[in-house]
Amino acid sequence: MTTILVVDDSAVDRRLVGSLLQESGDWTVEYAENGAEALEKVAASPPDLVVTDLIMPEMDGLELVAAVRNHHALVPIILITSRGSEEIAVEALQRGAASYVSKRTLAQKLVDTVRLVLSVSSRQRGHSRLMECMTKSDSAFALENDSTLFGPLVTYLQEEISRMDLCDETECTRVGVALEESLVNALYHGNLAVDSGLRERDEGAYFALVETRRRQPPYEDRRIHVKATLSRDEAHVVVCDEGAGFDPTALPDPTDPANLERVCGRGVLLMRTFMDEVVYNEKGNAVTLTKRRNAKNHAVGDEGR
Amino acid sequence: MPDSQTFHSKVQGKTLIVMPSGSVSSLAGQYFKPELDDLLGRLNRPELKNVVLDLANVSYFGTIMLGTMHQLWKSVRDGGGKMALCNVSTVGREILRVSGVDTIWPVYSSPKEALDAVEEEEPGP
Repeated sequence: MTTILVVDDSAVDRRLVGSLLQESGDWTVEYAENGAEALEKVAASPPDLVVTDLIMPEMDGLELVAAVRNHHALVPIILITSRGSEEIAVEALQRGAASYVSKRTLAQKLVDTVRLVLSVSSRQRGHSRLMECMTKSDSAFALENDSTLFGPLVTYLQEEISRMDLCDETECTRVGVALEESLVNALYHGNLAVDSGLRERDEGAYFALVETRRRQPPYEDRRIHVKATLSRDEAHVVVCDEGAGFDPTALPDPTDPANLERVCGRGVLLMRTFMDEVVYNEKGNAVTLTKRRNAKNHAVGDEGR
Repeated sequence: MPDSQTFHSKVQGKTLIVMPSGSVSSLAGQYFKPELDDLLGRLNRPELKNVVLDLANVSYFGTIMLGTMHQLWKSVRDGGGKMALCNVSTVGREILRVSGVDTIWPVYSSPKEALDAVEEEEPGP
Protein backbone atom coordinates (compact mmCIF):
# COMPACT_ATOMS: atom_id res chain seq x y z
CA MET A 1 0.00 0.00 0.00
CA THR A 2 1.33 3.43 -0.93
CA THR A 3 1.75 5.71 2.07
CA ILE A 4 1.60 9.50 1.86
CA LEU A 5 2.66 11.70 4.76
CA VAL A 6 0.77 15.01 4.92
CA VAL A 7 2.53 17.75 6.88
CA ASP A 8 0.70 20.91 7.92
CA ASP A 9 0.38 22.83 11.18
CA SER A 10 -3.23 23.72 10.38
CA ALA A 11 -5.62 20.91 11.33
CA VAL A 12 -8.17 22.20 8.81
CA ASP A 13 -5.68 22.13 5.93
CA ARG A 14 -4.36 18.71 6.99
CA ARG A 15 -7.89 17.32 6.83
CA LEU A 16 -8.55 18.97 3.48
CA VAL A 17 -5.40 17.54 1.87
CA GLY A 18 -5.91 14.17 3.53
CA SER A 19 -9.48 13.84 2.34
CA LEU A 20 -8.57 14.80 -1.23
CA LEU A 21 -5.96 12.05 -1.27
CA GLN A 22 -8.06 9.40 0.45
CA GLU A 23 -11.07 10.00 -1.80
CA SER A 24 -9.09 9.86 -4.99
CA GLY A 25 -6.60 7.06 -4.69
CA ASP A 26 -5.65 3.80 -3.14
CA TRP A 27 -3.37 5.49 -0.67
CA THR A 28 -2.84 5.38 3.09
CA VAL A 29 -2.51 8.87 4.52
CA GLU A 30 -0.54 9.72 7.64
CA TYR A 31 -0.14 13.12 9.27
CA ALA A 32 2.47 15.31 10.96
CA GLU A 33 1.99 18.81 12.41
CA ASN A 34 5.38 20.24 11.52
CA GLY A 35 8.67 19.49 9.79
CA ALA A 36 10.39 18.10 12.85
CA GLU A 37 7.62 15.60 13.53
CA ALA A 38 7.55 14.72 9.82
CA LEU A 39 11.26 14.04 9.81
CA GLU A 40 10.87 11.70 12.78
CA LYS A 41 8.12 9.80 10.98
CA VAL A 42 10.14 9.61 7.76
CA ALA A 43 13.12 8.26 9.71
CA ALA A 44 11.00 5.68 11.54
CA SER A 45 9.19 4.44 8.46
CA PRO A 46 9.82 6.21 5.13
CA PRO A 47 6.56 6.97 3.30
CA ASP A 48 6.29 6.79 -0.48
CA LEU A 49 5.64 10.52 -0.69
CA VAL A 50 5.51 13.62 1.51
CA VAL A 51 3.02 16.43 0.87
CA THR A 52 3.91 19.45 2.98
CA ASP A 53 2.82 22.97 3.65
CA LEU A 54 5.54 25.56 3.12
CA ILE A 55 5.16 27.73 6.21
CA MET A 56 5.17 25.91 9.53
CA PRO A 57 6.66 26.41 12.99
CA GLU A 58 9.82 24.57 14.14
CA MET A 59 10.91 23.28 10.73
CA ASP A 60 9.33 24.77 7.63
CA GLY A 61 8.74 23.09 4.28
CA LEU A 62 12.05 24.25 2.78
CA GLU A 63 14.06 22.88 5.70
CA LEU A 64 12.08 19.65 5.52
CA VAL A 65 12.90 19.31 1.80
CA ALA A 66 16.61 19.73 2.49
CA ALA A 67 16.60 17.30 5.42
CA VAL A 68 14.68 14.60 3.58
CA ARG A 69 16.88 14.97 0.49
CA ASN A 70 19.97 14.51 2.63
CA HIS A 71 18.86 11.41 4.47
CA HIS A 72 16.07 9.84 2.41
CA ALA A 73 16.82 10.84 -1.15
CA LEU A 74 14.26 8.48 -2.67
CA VAL A 75 11.30 9.97 -0.78
CA PRO A 76 9.78 12.66 -3.03
CA ILE A 77 8.19 15.81 -1.61
CA ILE A 78 5.37 17.94 -2.98
CA LEU A 79 5.03 21.43 -1.53
CA ILE A 80 1.77 23.26 -1.04
CA THR A 81 2.32 26.94 -1.67
CA SER A 82 0.21 29.97 -0.96
CA ARG A 83 -0.15 33.14 -3.00
CA GLY A 84 3.07 35.10 -3.20
CA SER A 85 5.38 32.21 -2.40
CA GLU A 86 6.31 31.36 -5.99
CA GLU A 87 9.93 32.35 -5.46
CA ILE A 88 10.21 30.09 -2.45
CA ALA A 89 8.66 27.30 -4.48
CA VAL A 90 11.44 27.70 -7.05
CA GLU A 91 13.99 27.52 -4.26
CA ALA A 92 12.30 24.37 -2.96
CA LEU A 93 12.57 22.76 -6.39
CA GLN A 94 16.24 23.70 -6.48
CA ARG A 95 16.70 22.04 -3.10
CA GLY A 96 15.14 18.86 -4.41
CA ALA A 97 11.36 19.06 -4.03
CA ALA A 98 9.61 16.96 -6.67
CA SER A 99 6.82 19.43 -7.41
CA TYR A 100 4.46 22.00 -5.90
CA VAL A 101 0.78 22.77 -5.94
CA SER A 102 -0.74 26.10 -4.97
CA LYS A 103 -3.47 26.15 -2.33
CA ARG A 104 -5.82 27.81 -4.81
CA THR A 105 -5.67 24.83 -7.18
CA LEU A 106 -5.40 22.07 -4.62
CA ALA A 107 -8.73 20.42 -5.50
CA GLN A 108 -7.95 20.43 -9.22
CA LYS A 109 -4.28 19.55 -9.27
CA LEU A 110 -3.14 17.77 -6.11
CA VAL A 111 -4.21 14.23 -6.98
CA ASP A 112 -2.82 14.37 -10.55
CA THR A 113 0.47 15.79 -9.27
CA VAL A 114 0.70 13.06 -6.63
CA ARG A 115 0.06 10.35 -9.25
CA LEU A 116 2.73 11.78 -11.55
CA VAL A 117 5.32 12.11 -8.81
CA LEU A 118 4.61 8.60 -7.49
CA SER A 119 5.02 7.19 -10.98
CA VAL A 120 8.41 8.85 -11.50
CA SER A 121 9.49 7.91 -7.99
CA SER A 122 8.56 4.28 -8.54
CA ARG A 123 10.79 4.12 -11.64
CA GLN A 124 13.64 5.75 -9.69
CA ARG A 125 13.31 3.25 -6.86
CA GLY A 126 13.36 0.39 -9.34
CA HIS A 127 16.46 1.79 -11.00
CA SER A 128 18.11 2.30 -7.63
CA ARG A 129 17.35 -1.28 -6.58
CA LEU A 130 18.67 -2.59 -9.88
CA MET A 131 21.88 -0.61 -9.54
CA GLU A 132 22.39 -2.11 -6.09
CA CYS A 133 22.51 -5.49 -7.84
CA MET A 134 25.29 -4.43 -10.21
CA THR A 135 28.49 -6.41 -9.60
CA LYS A 136 30.77 -4.98 -12.28
CA SER A 137 30.91 -1.96 -14.52
CA ASP A 138 33.25 -0.84 -17.27
CA SER A 139 33.30 2.68 -18.62
CA ALA A 140 35.59 4.59 -20.94
CA PHE A 141 35.94 8.29 -21.70
CA ALA A 142 37.99 10.33 -24.15
CA LEU A 143 38.19 13.84 -22.69
CA GLU A 144 39.15 16.99 -24.50
CA ASN A 145 41.73 19.17 -22.81
CA ASP A 146 39.10 20.83 -20.67
CA SER A 147 39.52 20.68 -16.91
CA THR A 148 35.88 21.58 -16.29
CA LEU A 149 35.08 17.99 -17.27
CA PHE A 150 37.16 16.63 -14.40
CA GLY A 151 34.66 17.43 -11.65
CA PRO A 152 31.72 15.68 -13.34
CA LEU A 153 33.86 12.67 -14.24
CA VAL A 154 35.23 12.30 -10.73
CA THR A 155 31.75 12.69 -9.25
CA TYR A 156 30.45 10.00 -11.60
CA LEU A 157 33.24 7.60 -10.63
CA GLN A 158 32.77 8.36 -6.93
CA GLU A 159 29.07 7.56 -7.23
CA GLU A 160 29.85 4.30 -9.00
CA ILE A 161 32.42 3.38 -6.35
CA SER A 162 29.90 4.16 -3.61
CA ARG A 163 27.30 2.07 -5.40
CA MET A 164 29.72 -0.84 -5.42
CA ASP A 165 30.07 -0.27 -1.68
CA LEU A 166 33.85 -0.29 -2.02
CA CYS A 167 34.52 2.37 0.57
CA ASP A 168 32.93 4.86 2.94
CA GLU A 169 32.35 8.53 2.23
CA THR A 170 35.73 9.71 3.51
CA GLU A 171 37.60 7.09 1.51
CA CYS A 172 35.54 8.07 -1.51
CA THR A 173 36.67 11.66 -1.06
CA ARG A 174 40.30 10.50 -0.94
CA VAL A 175 39.77 8.55 -4.16
CA GLY A 176 38.35 11.72 -5.70
CA VAL A 177 41.48 13.67 -4.79
CA ALA A 178 43.70 11.00 -6.37
CA LEU A 179 41.61 10.84 -9.54
CA GLU A 180 41.65 14.60 -9.96
CA GLU A 181 45.40 14.73 -9.51
CA SER A 182 45.87 12.09 -12.19
CA LEU A 183 43.64 14.06 -14.56
CA VAL A 184 45.39 17.35 -13.80
CA ASN A 185 48.76 15.74 -14.53
CA ALA A 186 47.46 14.19 -17.76
CA LEU A 187 46.18 17.56 -18.96
CA TYR A 188 48.91 20.01 -17.97
CA HIS A 189 52.06 17.93 -18.02
CA GLY A 190 50.92 15.18 -20.40
CA ASN A 191 48.81 16.49 -23.28
CA LEU A 192 49.83 20.16 -23.04
CA ALA A 193 53.45 19.38 -22.05
CA VAL A 194 53.64 22.44 -19.81
CA ASP A 195 56.52 22.24 -17.35
CA SER A 196 55.62 22.79 -13.70
CA GLY A 197 58.92 24.64 -13.33
CA LEU A 198 57.37 27.49 -15.36
CA ARG A 199 54.64 27.85 -12.75
CA GLU A 200 57.33 28.23 -10.08
CA ARG A 201 58.88 31.08 -12.03
CA ASP A 202 55.85 32.82 -13.53
CA GLU A 203 52.33 31.59 -12.89
CA GLY A 204 50.82 34.02 -15.39
CA ALA A 205 53.07 32.72 -18.18
CA TYR A 206 52.28 29.15 -17.13
CA PHE A 207 48.52 29.54 -17.49
CA ALA A 208 48.91 31.64 -20.63
CA LEU A 209 50.87 28.78 -22.21
CA VAL A 210 48.17 26.34 -21.08
CA GLU A 211 45.49 28.39 -22.83
CA THR A 212 47.59 28.78 -25.98
CA ARG A 213 48.38 25.10 -26.30
CA ARG A 214 44.77 24.07 -25.74
CA ARG A 215 44.07 25.66 -29.14
CA GLN A 216 47.31 24.79 -30.91
CA PRO A 217 48.34 21.66 -32.81
CA PRO A 218 49.49 19.06 -31.96
CA TYR A 219 48.27 19.64 -28.39
CA GLU A 220 44.65 20.51 -29.20
CA ASP A 221 43.96 17.14 -30.79
CA ARG A 222 45.22 15.14 -27.85
CA ARG A 223 42.75 13.44 -25.56
CA ILE A 224 42.78 12.11 -22.02
CA HIS A 225 41.59 8.51 -22.05
CA VAL A 226 40.01 7.21 -18.88
CA LYS A 227 39.00 3.59 -18.40
CA ALA A 228 37.31 2.54 -15.21
CA THR A 229 36.66 -1.05 -14.19
CA LEU A 230 34.71 -1.29 -10.98
CA SER A 231 33.62 -4.38 -9.11
CA ARG A 232 32.50 -5.21 -5.58
CA ASP A 233 36.13 -5.97 -4.71
CA GLU A 234 38.14 -3.22 -6.32
CA ALA A 235 38.24 -0.23 -8.61
CA HIS A 236 40.82 0.18 -11.36
CA VAL A 237 41.01 3.50 -13.14
CA VAL A 238 43.50 4.00 -15.95
CA VAL A 239 44.24 7.61 -16.94
CA CYS A 240 46.25 7.88 -20.13
CA ASP A 241 47.37 11.01 -21.94
CA GLU A 242 48.84 11.39 -25.42
CA GLY A 243 51.96 13.22 -24.32
CA ALA A 244 55.56 12.13 -24.25
CA GLY A 245 55.35 10.58 -20.78
CA PHE A 246 57.67 11.14 -17.83
CA ASP A 247 59.79 9.30 -15.31
CA PRO A 248 57.83 9.23 -12.03
CA THR A 249 60.91 8.02 -10.13
CA ALA A 250 62.68 11.28 -10.98
CA LEU A 251 60.18 13.49 -9.10
CA PRO A 252 61.70 15.46 -6.22
CA ASP A 253 60.43 14.77 -2.71
CA PRO A 254 57.90 17.56 -2.12
CA THR A 255 58.02 17.05 1.65
CA ASP A 256 61.76 17.70 1.78
CA PRO A 257 62.06 21.00 3.69
CA ALA A 258 64.09 22.33 0.79
CA ASN A 259 61.05 21.87 -1.47
CA LEU A 260 58.30 23.12 0.85
CA GLU A 261 58.17 26.50 -0.81
CA ARG A 262 57.74 25.01 -4.25
CA VAL A 263 54.26 25.17 -5.68
CA CYS A 264 54.30 21.91 -7.60
CA GLY A 265 55.25 18.28 -7.31
CA ARG A 266 52.65 16.96 -4.90
CA GLY A 267 50.12 15.36 -7.23
CA VAL A 268 51.74 11.92 -7.47
CA LEU A 269 52.32 11.95 -3.72
CA LEU A 270 48.62 12.52 -3.06
CA MET A 271 47.70 9.80 -5.55
CA ARG A 272 50.00 7.31 -3.84
CA THR A 273 48.70 8.27 -0.41
CA PHE A 274 45.02 7.97 -1.19
CA MET A 275 44.97 4.91 -3.45
CA ASP A 276 46.05 1.37 -2.62
CA GLU A 277 48.21 1.08 -5.69
CA VAL A 278 49.51 3.55 -8.26
CA VAL A 279 51.40 2.13 -11.23
CA TYR A 280 52.79 4.01 -14.23
CA ASN A 281 53.44 2.35 -17.56
CA GLU A 282 56.97 2.29 -18.91
CA LYS A 283 56.49 5.41 -21.02
CA GLY A 284 55.03 7.32 -18.09
CA ASN A 285 51.92 8.57 -19.90
CA ALA A 286 49.41 6.16 -18.32
CA VAL A 287 48.74 5.60 -14.65
CA THR A 288 46.61 2.87 -13.14
CA LEU A 289 45.02 3.73 -9.81
CA THR A 290 43.61 0.91 -7.73
CA LYS A 291 41.33 1.02 -4.71
CA ARG A 292 40.46 -2.21 -2.96
CA ARG A 293 37.59 -2.91 -0.62
CA ASN A 294 38.58 -2.42 3.00
CA ALA A 295 42.26 -2.17 2.10
CA LYS A 296 44.20 0.23 4.27
CA ASN A 297 45.97 3.10 2.61
CA HIS A 298 49.64 2.62 2.07
CA ALA A 299 51.85 4.38 4.56
CA VAL A 300 53.50 7.47 3.21
CA GLY A 301 56.86 5.98 2.45
CA ASP A 302 57.43 6.41 -1.23
CA GLU A 303 56.67 10.08 -1.50
CA GLY A 304 60.01 10.82 -3.07
CA ARG A 305 58.97 9.29 -6.36
CA MET B 1 34.50 28.41 -18.01
CA PRO B 2 32.83 28.55 -14.58
CA ASP B 3 30.87 31.77 -14.13
CA SER B 4 30.54 31.94 -10.36
CA GLN B 5 32.93 33.52 -7.93
CA THR B 6 35.34 31.07 -6.29
CA PHE B 7 36.89 33.28 -3.61
CA HIS B 8 34.74 35.36 -1.30
CA SER B 9 36.62 37.68 1.01
CA LYS B 10 36.24 40.25 3.77
CA VAL B 11 38.61 42.39 5.77
CA GLN B 12 38.92 42.27 9.53
CA GLY B 13 41.63 44.40 11.14
CA LYS B 14 44.79 43.88 9.15
CA THR B 15 43.63 40.53 7.87
CA LEU B 16 42.02 39.45 4.63
CA ILE B 17 39.70 36.52 5.33
CA VAL B 18 39.32 34.42 2.20
CA MET B 19 36.59 31.80 1.78
CA PRO B 20 36.87 29.58 -1.28
CA SER B 21 33.66 27.87 -2.26
CA GLY B 22 32.37 25.47 -4.83
CA SER B 23 34.38 22.92 -6.70
CA VAL B 24 37.85 24.37 -6.20
CA SER B 25 39.20 20.86 -6.33
CA SER B 26 38.47 20.42 -10.00
CA LEU B 27 38.85 23.96 -11.24
CA ALA B 28 41.89 24.65 -13.33
CA GLY B 29 44.05 27.44 -12.05
CA GLN B 30 43.59 29.60 -15.11
CA TYR B 31 39.90 29.97 -14.35
CA PHE B 32 40.35 31.51 -10.95
CA LYS B 33 43.64 33.26 -11.69
CA PRO B 34 41.91 36.67 -12.17
CA GLU B 35 40.34 36.30 -8.73
CA LEU B 36 43.67 35.28 -7.24
CA ASP B 37 45.36 38.27 -8.87
CA ASP B 38 42.73 40.51 -7.33
CA LEU B 39 43.38 39.04 -3.87
CA LEU B 40 47.14 39.41 -4.33
CA GLY B 41 46.62 43.02 -5.40
CA ARG B 42 44.63 43.73 -2.23
CA LEU B 43 47.39 42.15 -0.13
CA ASN B 44 49.82 44.67 -1.59
CA ARG B 45 47.97 47.47 0.19
CA PRO B 46 49.72 48.61 3.35
CA GLU B 47 46.60 48.26 5.52
CA LEU B 48 46.43 44.52 4.87
CA LYS B 49 49.05 42.22 6.27
CA ASN B 50 47.65 38.75 7.01
CA VAL B 51 45.44 36.11 5.45
CA VAL B 52 43.02 33.68 7.06
CA LEU B 53 41.89 31.01 4.65
CA ASP B 54 38.50 29.68 5.78
CA LEU B 55 37.90 26.32 4.09
CA ALA B 56 34.44 25.69 5.57
CA ASN B 57 32.86 25.38 2.12
CA VAL B 58 35.52 23.16 0.62
CA SER B 59 35.36 19.45 1.41
CA TYR B 60 38.67 18.76 -0.26
CA PHE B 61 41.19 20.25 -2.64
CA GLY B 62 44.15 19.22 -4.72
CA THR B 63 47.42 20.58 -5.93
CA ILE B 64 45.81 23.37 -7.95
CA MET B 65 44.37 24.81 -4.75
CA LEU B 66 47.62 24.14 -2.87
CA GLY B 67 49.37 26.22 -5.54
CA THR B 68 46.93 29.06 -4.92
CA MET B 69 47.54 28.84 -1.18
CA HIS B 70 51.26 29.02 -1.88
CA GLN B 71 50.78 32.23 -3.88
CA LEU B 72 48.84 33.85 -1.05
CA TRP B 73 51.31 32.67 1.56
CA LYS B 74 54.35 33.98 -0.35
CA SER B 75 52.70 37.37 -0.77
CA VAL B 76 51.82 37.54 2.94
CA ARG B 77 55.24 36.35 4.04
CA ASP B 78 57.03 38.85 1.80
CA GLY B 79 55.00 41.61 3.45
CA GLY B 80 55.94 40.43 6.93
CA GLY B 81 52.50 38.97 7.70
CA LYS B 82 51.11 35.59 8.60
CA MET B 83 48.72 33.11 7.04
CA ALA B 84 46.52 30.63 8.90
CA LEU B 85 43.86 28.15 7.89
CA CYS B 86 40.61 27.20 9.59
CA ASN B 87 37.59 24.94 9.16
CA VAL B 88 39.69 22.37 7.31
CA SER B 89 37.95 19.04 6.64
CA THR B 90 39.44 15.72 7.68
CA VAL B 91 40.63 14.96 4.17
CA GLY B 92 41.83 18.55 3.78
CA ARG B 93 44.02 18.19 6.89
CA GLU B 94 45.35 14.94 5.50
CA ILE B 95 46.26 16.63 2.23
CA LEU B 96 48.08 19.40 4.09
CA ARG B 97 49.93 16.87 6.26
CA VAL B 98 50.91 14.59 3.38
CA SER B 99 52.11 17.58 1.38
CA GLY B 100 54.18 18.73 4.34
CA VAL B 101 52.71 22.22 4.30
CA ASP B 102 50.94 21.90 7.65
CA THR B 103 54.30 22.82 9.14
CA ILE B 104 54.24 26.24 7.51
CA TRP B 105 50.52 27.03 7.57
CA PRO B 106 49.00 26.62 11.03
CA VAL B 107 45.49 25.16 11.08
CA TYR B 108 42.85 26.34 13.58
CA SER B 109 39.39 25.03 14.19
CA SER B 110 37.56 28.36 14.01
CA PRO B 111 37.96 31.63 12.08
CA LYS B 112 38.23 33.51 15.40
CA GLU B 113 41.17 31.39 16.58
CA ALA B 114 42.89 31.81 13.23
CA LEU B 115 42.24 35.56 13.22
CA ASP B 116 43.53 35.98 16.78
CA ALA B 117 46.65 34.02 15.86
CA VAL B 118 47.57 36.08 12.79
CA GLU B 119 46.64 39.40 14.35
CA GLU B 120 48.76 38.72 17.43
CA GLU B 121 51.71 41.07 17.47
CA GLU B 122 55.15 39.51 17.59
CA PRO B 123 56.92 40.28 20.89
CA GLY B 124 59.41 43.08 20.49
CA PRO B 125 63.19 42.57 20.79
